[in-house]
Amino acid sequence: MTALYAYAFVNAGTDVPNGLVGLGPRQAPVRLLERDGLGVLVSDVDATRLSTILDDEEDVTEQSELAVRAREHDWVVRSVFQRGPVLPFRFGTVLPDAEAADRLLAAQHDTALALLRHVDGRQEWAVRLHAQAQPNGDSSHVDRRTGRSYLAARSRRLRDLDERQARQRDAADAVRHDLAAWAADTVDRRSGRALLDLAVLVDRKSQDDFFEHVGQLAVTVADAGLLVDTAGPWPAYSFTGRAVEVSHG
Amino acid sequence: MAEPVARQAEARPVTGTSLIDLLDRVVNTGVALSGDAVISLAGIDLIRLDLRLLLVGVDTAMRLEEPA
Repeated sequence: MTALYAYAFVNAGTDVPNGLVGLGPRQAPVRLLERDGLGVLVSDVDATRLSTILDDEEDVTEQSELAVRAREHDWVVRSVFQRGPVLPFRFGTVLPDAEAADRLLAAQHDTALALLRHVDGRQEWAVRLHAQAQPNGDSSHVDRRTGRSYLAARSRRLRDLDERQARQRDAADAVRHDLAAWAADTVDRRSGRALLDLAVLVDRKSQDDFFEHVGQLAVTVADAGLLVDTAGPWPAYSFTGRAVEVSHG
Repeated sequence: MAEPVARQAEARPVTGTSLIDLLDRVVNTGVALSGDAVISLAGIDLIRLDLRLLLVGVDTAMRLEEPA
């Protein structure tokens, strides 16, 4: 069945690039549906086909249909992001028809426009902290002559580890607070893939300052055995607000 | 024993986007609609829940592929 795949909220009147096409296999033109200053980017898709995207999926690779569609989704969002602020929808958001889109625009009018103002002229960067791998040389000096000295050395080593981890947690907290004060906005992504995984909303014109600032933070946290990496830029995926219930009984 | 020299973060933009970063963003973030404005096929939110579980699998697969 044909339905409307929805990519993002944008301001009405946003310039959609000529020839921009949406999710395959249909690759229908991306168009803008508008109501009262707010717009939503959509394209026709086969919803039934989309619902099978996880069938036969074991390992996800670049060639998986999921990966292909996710990149197509991101491409549409990024293409329009060059022309103005976007609030991306979660992947797989499908509206039944244009009337549903219109109801959505009406229901979310104030919230979406406020969030669009918040992210206007800004983009998202990921800042992550990782604990540096520790060499295993610590045990090489363990005195194994007596059981007691072995246990004492082991106990010291465990205490050292605890202290190290505590220092790293403190350093991560310090970075989180520092960037929360420095940037336009931050969200702790809690991805579990790093000691700290922070989404940082940065003014485009402050980008160089941002890199310099992160560089300074990296020097500071290196003492605690932490490494910093950054990735981006992204449209403001992480700053889109909480889940939205849109019911029309 | 000499202390390792603290090195500056590689704070330059990363060119290209890793698949795990991409999926982590488009699946886990963004405006999440629910209710009857969204199509539910077979009573399951179209993709969101399954993708969450899948993402955990992706993360594991990627980690296993990284050099030790």
